[in-house]
Amino acid sequence: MKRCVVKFGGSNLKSRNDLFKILEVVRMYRQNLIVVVSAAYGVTNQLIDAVSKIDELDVDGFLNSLYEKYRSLLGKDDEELKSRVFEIKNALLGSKLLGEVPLQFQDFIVSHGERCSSLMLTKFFRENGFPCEEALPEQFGLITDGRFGNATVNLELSRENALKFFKKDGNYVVAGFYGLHDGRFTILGRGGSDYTATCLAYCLDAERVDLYKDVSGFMTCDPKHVENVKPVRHLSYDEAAELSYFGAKILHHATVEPLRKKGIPLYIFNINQFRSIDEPDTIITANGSTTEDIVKSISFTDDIAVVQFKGSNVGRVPGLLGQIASMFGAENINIKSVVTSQTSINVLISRQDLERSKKIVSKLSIPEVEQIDFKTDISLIATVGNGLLQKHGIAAKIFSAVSKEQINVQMISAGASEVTMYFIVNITDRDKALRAIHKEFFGG
Amino acid sequence: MKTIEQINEKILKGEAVVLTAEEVVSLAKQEGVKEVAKKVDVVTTATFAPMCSSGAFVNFGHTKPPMRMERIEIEGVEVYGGLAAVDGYIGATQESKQDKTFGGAHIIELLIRGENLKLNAEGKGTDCYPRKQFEGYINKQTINDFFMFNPRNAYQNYSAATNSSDRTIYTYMGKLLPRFGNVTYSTSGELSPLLKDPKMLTIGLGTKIFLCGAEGYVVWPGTQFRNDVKVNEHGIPISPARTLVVIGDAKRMNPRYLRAAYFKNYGVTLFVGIGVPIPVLNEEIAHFVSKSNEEITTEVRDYGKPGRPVLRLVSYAELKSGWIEIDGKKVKTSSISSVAMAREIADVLRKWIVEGRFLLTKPVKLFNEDRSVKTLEEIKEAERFKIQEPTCVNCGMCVGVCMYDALKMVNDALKFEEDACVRCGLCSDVCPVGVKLPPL
Repeated sequence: MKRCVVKFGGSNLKSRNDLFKILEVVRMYRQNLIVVVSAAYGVTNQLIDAVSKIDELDVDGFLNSLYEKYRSLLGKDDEELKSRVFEIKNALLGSKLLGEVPLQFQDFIVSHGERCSSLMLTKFFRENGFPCEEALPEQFGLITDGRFGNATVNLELSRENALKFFKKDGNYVVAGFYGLHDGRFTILGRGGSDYTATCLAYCLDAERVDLYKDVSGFMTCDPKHVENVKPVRHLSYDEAAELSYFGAKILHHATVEPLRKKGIPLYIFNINQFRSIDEPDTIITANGSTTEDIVKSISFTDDIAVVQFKGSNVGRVPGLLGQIASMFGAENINIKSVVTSQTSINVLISRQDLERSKKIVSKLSIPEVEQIDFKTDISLIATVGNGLLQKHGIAAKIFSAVSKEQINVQMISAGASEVTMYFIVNITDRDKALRAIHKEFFGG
Repeated sequence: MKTIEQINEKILKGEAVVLTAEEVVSLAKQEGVKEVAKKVDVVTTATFAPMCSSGAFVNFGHTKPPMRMERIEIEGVEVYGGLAAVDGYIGATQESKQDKTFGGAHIIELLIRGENLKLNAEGKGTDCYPRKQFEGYINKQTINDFFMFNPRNAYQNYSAATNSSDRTIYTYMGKLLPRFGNVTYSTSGELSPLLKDPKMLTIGLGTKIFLCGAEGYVVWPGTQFRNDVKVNEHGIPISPARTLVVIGDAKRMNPRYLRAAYFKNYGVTLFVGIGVPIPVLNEEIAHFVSKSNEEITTEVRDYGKPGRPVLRLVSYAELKSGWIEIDGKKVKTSSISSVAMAREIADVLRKWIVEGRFLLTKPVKLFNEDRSVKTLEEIKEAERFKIQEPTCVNCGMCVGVCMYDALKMVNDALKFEEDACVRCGLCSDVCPVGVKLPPL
């Protein structure tokens, strides 16, 4: 029988009661499970804080409070768990002496919450009659490209390792969020445990991947910004990837990629409204499905900035875009999108890369570029749905809804992906625009 | 020429002439076979002998909450539980884990006697059968169904056994003393059902019989049934040949007509009492029912040598005389079946018929196809079976779990709407025959 990979996020690890919910869920599967687990709620942020304020850190006090959190989850003292929590003590003390945390220590420290979770959950499962083994990425060999802070998994190497490590029968609890490169810990970016789960599903040919969250899967829009949002029952890999890429926080942006290669379905459950393992809130699969209104969900990101290269002839100079792109690439800055015209090349980047980008472009000397502007305080809104480019009038519906609210659209892109159309508005207009489009497609 | 219908009419009118097999032998000796054919309507035959290949099905009744019993024991004797839920099969030769002299045969007999027996059962527990363990007493009143089903009973003939070797051997034919110390034999000779209808002209599928004191039926040729055997000058097989599968309601059986037994150093077995009425429909049948112990012969086999070679032919009259000669030596003979009990059963069955309580049945089918018996060859290498890619049987289980209406039943056949399928995989674990869904 094929295995299932299930993943529980930090929001599922707030209290001891949550562990019993998890236990109830895993018992329903009746087949071998790979349980991927995140750090307990809030722990990753505490670790990031610790790294950023290493000078001020009271190492023992911090680790004791961390142990207290896991001890209260497990419900009793446990020496093994305590020594697991304290495994990063030397890294913290060493960094404190240095006055900063070296890059290779950062990911080791930030991923520590997952290692504590996996041991704690393994012990909890065993005590409650659910047999399992702990499996850490350093044990089974989850190999990454080595990029600190936001690594990508090398699926083929990891697959070879995982097939040797995991026995065909038996349950495993896996620490999510990180992998290794040349023996060094590299995290997979925020929300990376989802990605761990799908990578393992790829490696072990799992039947499905089930992600447990504390929200009801994908919604038609972010409920913090728009009222009356509805759940989205089904998305294709493309739709889910685009929504994540453009800001939907529910899924790590790389999550669906390993699944795409093998057509493994991904299910998202809200553990607080869990009914049965056959009733996921959102199903993400290979095949697209087209709804009547085409648009399935609207996402947005404020983590966007535009670097605008202006010049009367920039659109006609061969190789100019390439020069710009390689310049960003050399500095490891990811270009999210490019929109060009005769007089302007617009490069969309993450806002956190803005300051570094400013430094780079200040060194730039291209005669055709007459002026470089930076646009911030903007928001990118993406409408996603299969058939968006095939059906007439979708763009018209989107933009007439926005224009009725007298919102100025600064930039539009459609066609880069089959399922996405996005545009940029001033950040102050963002929620108005979201509400207008949502109302147009999903009603008030 | 008579028909079974005519005989039944006579039985109902109280006019039928019913004799036991022994009585008909005497009559034939005095008046001849033709008179037997004319005068006699039914001949009752019987046997009361150890028949290892016996057993009983039990349905224990459902527990609360229900359980699927997978490992079952009654008084420490394993009951085969590879059947649904609370059905089990008690094999007569199954031995108790604690006491090898006690086994399935004893369980069957004790249940028929109405005793309370301890049942222990375990199951893995499922959603529909959540209970995992049961321990409690049962008896024939508490259990739901209880019927005997014996795959190989009433052997037509069985070879007599002796032992030429220098040591005592223990067999299903009993203790065989060294150097031809004794001979044992099993069949009740001229009383024996299948020896009195050796070609099975009247006994077949649906023949109503006496089975352990209750009504039973012949339901199939027994295992190891063979009709490709040598017959003697009277047309009677001289070696083990035909057998019967019999069935009957164990709740109605009379414990007098069965008995659990233990053959030392061999194992547990069950004495089964069987009586078969043979309608004398014509002269050929009259000829066979009239055959006496002098005319019925069997082989004497040497269980002390590999292959159990045949030493000689012997008639049941000789066997019953108390001794036979082997290699110039006078050897004592003894029966392992009870002729006295067989005689009683033949007489009980005769009474049942005479009193009109037991009518004859016409077989739905006679067992006259050629059958032989194979031995199990030790084949060490063979082409292994290939697992066939399962194919859809149009049961429709998958339809109910598809949320996208990609799987539908149209005219009771499964229809797959590929365009509607999103490959969500929710159908993949419901197919009972293992078809990979969605269909590609």
